[in-house]
Formats: sequence, C-alpha cells, structure tokens
Amino acid sequence: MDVPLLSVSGLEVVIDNGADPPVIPLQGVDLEIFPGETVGLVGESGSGKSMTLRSVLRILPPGGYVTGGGLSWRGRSIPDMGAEELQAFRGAEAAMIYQNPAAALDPVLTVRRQIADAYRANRPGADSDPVRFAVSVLRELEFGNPGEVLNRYPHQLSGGMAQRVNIALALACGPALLMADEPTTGLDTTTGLRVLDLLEEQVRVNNAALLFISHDLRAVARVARRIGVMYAGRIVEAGTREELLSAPAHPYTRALIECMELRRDEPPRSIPGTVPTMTERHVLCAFRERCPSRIAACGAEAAPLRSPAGGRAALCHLGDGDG
Amino acid sequence: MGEPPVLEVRGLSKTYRVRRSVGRTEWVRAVEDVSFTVERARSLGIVGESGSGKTTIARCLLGLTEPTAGEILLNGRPLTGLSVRRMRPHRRHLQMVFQMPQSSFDPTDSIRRAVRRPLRRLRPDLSRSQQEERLREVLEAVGLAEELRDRRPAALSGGQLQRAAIARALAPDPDLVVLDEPTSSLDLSVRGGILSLLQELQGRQSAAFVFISHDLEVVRACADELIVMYLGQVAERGPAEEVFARPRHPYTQALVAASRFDADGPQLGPKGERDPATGCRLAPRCPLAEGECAAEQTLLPGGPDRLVRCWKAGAPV
Repeated sequence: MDVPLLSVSGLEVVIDNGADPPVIPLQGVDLEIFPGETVGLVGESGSGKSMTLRSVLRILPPGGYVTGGGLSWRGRSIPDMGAEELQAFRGAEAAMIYQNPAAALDPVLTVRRQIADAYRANRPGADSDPVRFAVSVLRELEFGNPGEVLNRYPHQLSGGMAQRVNIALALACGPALLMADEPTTGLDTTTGLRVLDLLEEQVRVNNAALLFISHDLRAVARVARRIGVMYAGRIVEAGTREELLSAPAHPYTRALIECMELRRDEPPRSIPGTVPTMTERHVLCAFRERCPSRIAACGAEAAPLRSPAGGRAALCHLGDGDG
Repeated sequence: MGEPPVLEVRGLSKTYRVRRSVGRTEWVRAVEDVSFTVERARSLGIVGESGSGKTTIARCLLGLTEPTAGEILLNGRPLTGLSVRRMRPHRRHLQMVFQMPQSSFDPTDSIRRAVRRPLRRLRPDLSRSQQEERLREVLEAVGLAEELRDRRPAALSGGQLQRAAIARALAPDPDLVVLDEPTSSLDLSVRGGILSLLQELQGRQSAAFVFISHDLEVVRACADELIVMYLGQVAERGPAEEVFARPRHPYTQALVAASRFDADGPQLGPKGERDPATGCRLAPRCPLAEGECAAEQTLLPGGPDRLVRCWKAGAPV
C-alpha cells in the first residue's frame, strides 16, 4: 500500500480569539489523499471545509489551534515541522488557490513578477523560463492577451481575472497537492467550467493530487473522483462521486443533491434552517434539527458510522434505503 | 389605448471611453441598440457573461449611468436625461436588489431600520402607521423571522440578508424591481429558498421584474422572457422556457450546456486578444464560424416570439 500524501485523522480545531466565545469549527475530520488522486469536500458555508485546508498549511486564523487528532504529509507530522521544513512544504508540496483572490495577490507586484517568483522559489533547477511558463498557463486560463496581463498590477484585474491569476500562481509552484477553495466563485459559468476542466487537466498532467472544496456539489463532482460531504465540522458521508450521486446514504447528501438542480416543473429546493453554532462539541448528529428523516434515536445517541456499500461511509442512524 | 408597459427600452446604447495608456483612448461599446419591453407583473431575464453589457443595462435603468443613445420609458414616461431632482419622483417605482447583500446594507442599521428608510423617503403619502403596516407586511412576505428584524446585517446569514434586501426593494411598492445576480453569492442550499420567494412574490406583486445573471438556470427559474447578451448585443431572445429547451444561437447553446455542467454543446474557444467590433462578435470563439460570419449580423426571426442574431440559426430550418 502506498503512503498517502496527506493523512488527516480525528482533526479537531478550536478558535479562541479572546473576545467571542471559542468555536470548534472542526470536530473530528478524517481524510486521506494519495498521489494523483482528486478529492472534493462539499458542504455549506460554515461546515469546516476551508478550515480543513487551512489546517493543512498551518494558516489557521488568529487564535486557532489544533486541539486533537493529527495531520501528516508523506508520513511526517505537519504540526511538528520546523520553520524551514514548513517553508519547503508550502508551495512546492502543497499549494493553495484561495477563495478571495484579490487578498491573495501582492498589490505592489506585477502579475509577471508574482508568477515568476513563485516559479523560481518552488522549482529550483527548472530549466524552463518562468515567463514562458506564465504566458502558457495564462493562455490556458482563457486570457486573450497573456503578455499584456503580465504587466498588470492586481488592482488592474477584474475579480474573475484575479481568480485566474491566483490559479496560475498555485500552478507555478508545481505542487504535489493542489488545494482549491471555491476557485470558480465569481467566474462566469462558461469560464468557471473551463477552469474546473483546466484544474483537472493540470493535476492529471503533473500527476498531482487535488483537494477541491465548494458548496456546489456539481462543481465538486466535475473534478473529484472521491467526495467527502462535510457538515458541522465532520465528514458525514464519503464515497466515490458515482456512489454519492446515485445512492446518497446520508440525508444531508440527499438534500444537497436536491438543491443542485433547478427544474421548471417543481419549486426550487433549499435546506431549511441554518448550520448550527460551533461553540460546543456535537455529540448527537448536528444535522438532526434540519433533517427530514429524523428518528427518535437521532436525539438520544451519537450516530454510528455505517458502511452501506463498497468503500462508502455515512454517519447516520438510518441504514441504506431507510428514511 | 391600454396602459403603457411598465418598462420600455428603445435602442439603448452605451459607449465608454477607456484610457488604455497615456494618449491611447479606446471606445468600448458596452451596450449596442438593445430594445425590450416588460409588462406589469411579468419578468424579463437578462443573461450573459461578464462584459456582455447586462450590468450596464441595469445601471442605465436605474439612472446610475447616462445612455449614449436610446430611450428608457417607465410607465410611458422617459427616464433618460433627467436630473437627480427630476428622477426622484420615479425612484419609488424603481428599485434594485444587489448581488452582495453584505455590502448593500449600512452595517450600523438594524434590518427594520434599513427596510423602513425607503418607506420614509419615498412614500410620504403614507401615514406613519401605514408605513409601519407596510414594513411589517414586506418583512412577513420575505419570511424574515421577527427575532431577526432588530439585528444588524452582520448577525444575519447571506440568505437572510438577501431576503431583507428584497423586502427593502419591495417596501415602497415599486413598479419595477431590478435584481442583479440575486443568488450568485449564496450557497446552493439557500439559493432555492430565494428563488421560490421571488417566484411567489411575482404572483402577488403587480411589479415587473428584471433578473440579471450569468447563470441561465437561475434566470430561467424566475423569468417569463429571456434576453441573451453577448458583447453588448442581444444574441437571442424569446420565451424563457423555449430558449432554454431549444437554444438556437451557438452562444446560448454553450450557456445551456454550462448551466447543466454538461460536456455536450458547442465548445467555445477562449476569448481572443481583442473583441471583434464588426461582424458576428462570437465568431472568433465559435466552432461553427464560416466566412459569412464576418458580415454584420442582425436579429432574425427564429420561431414564435424568437429572435436570433446568427445567420445560420435564424433562418427557418
């Protein structure tokens, strides 16, 4: 058996900024990613997707720390990495495409300089010219005039352009794992699809792994072969995209699938209620208040981890086909 | 003579001057000769990607941008060329819902206060108690729970805040509501709730709605009629369901495929270095392009109530 690139087990994160009551955004996340694998995490805002990614790169928000479980990279504990090791790990090993691209770009450097710097810093000894790389990757990201875009500063980019430059920046690092946090938010549907396809193509060509997160199951299913459904800081169901889409085992997964498609003949679907506050540890199923299939056991004891079929797992009292 | 349509747009054009660098000025035709009408209690969807001109149309409708040419009539009365002061009486009939609810509220106002404000300013004809009655009515209509109404915007989720924005737009009982990407900043899990609300409100309000979005599926869920824009021009228009079910223009076909996350449909090439200023604007990206596409394209009949700006798709087949 191969060693996974990234292994996350029982990860718990607390954020205590001293002012508000502490929150526990991650309450036991288990995740493994092998080389070249494409994995997606889907869930609503506040389900812990971004926090999982940030834990991997050790860029938790102020007051945030890991209080339980572990993360390892090629078998090496990420929390134990020293400053130099961490520096080498970020970028060349695991690079991130951030949700807010404008904030991820340096406002005083041109696009050329930022991509070239990332390329040189993370690919020592590469013989290709960083600028030639930048031009080709920008062209693939649907920039009509890459040479001109290279001379721009971030404030001269539209939101969609900044997003694509950000993707180019992550690709410039040549990472073994590319992590993408809602990279198509704010892009046009046609450009967004193209970007998803490009991401998938790039990870395939470079034999990199992809960890992709979004609230949109359609986007996740487009790029990821394996999908984890997150809710209230845990992965409540996991499986291949085919299993998950054709036979969802958790009511939350079913609800997400129903929200995905708009049909003319029936009213648009939504999930009533909101994601619970994360100020306490959820022992019982955190979805039970919003769950249409709720049974008495949901309010009485913790949901068991079930494996309905194949390599699938769901945290739910209901078995396959119930509810 | 029956009553005039709520909104009539005739030959709307907007050209911007863009300074590319020192001494080099270019003219960008953001909107070119767009005409449409929206009747009372009907809804029009305008769909297209960034740069298609859809937001410029919205800005012109609201008087935030002065059109270069063309006319905008609200209830038969021209809106174009009005001073801020002369525009004021029209404001109560013309309301807007923005894409980002978080940035369209004053962070220090409670929701109740924010929704009350347009009533105070735009409906001096109503007594205080009538205004308060209307306030309760719209907050109720958008399904905003009582306990949320005295909170500040930061304490509400995106979906709750967008409900408040819709309530605020409806409060003065406008004739026209323009919604610019009302769901694109929201999670899919709350999108459906907002779309249902908008569908329901259309049945109950006499207002006409204009929905602007890059997502064809969202527009289709809410609109009776659809206009597809590409680089400032109307590429196709017709009844929403018809256009979605049987898109004629290659660009519309690509949008339909994209909205379904479908790999089928024409694969558009990437955007070129420069957008064409003459002939079919899509031609450089279109897999079906031929020599004839270099000629200027006009809107051709493409079926009942359908218009298509493509010589290959327009003629009866």
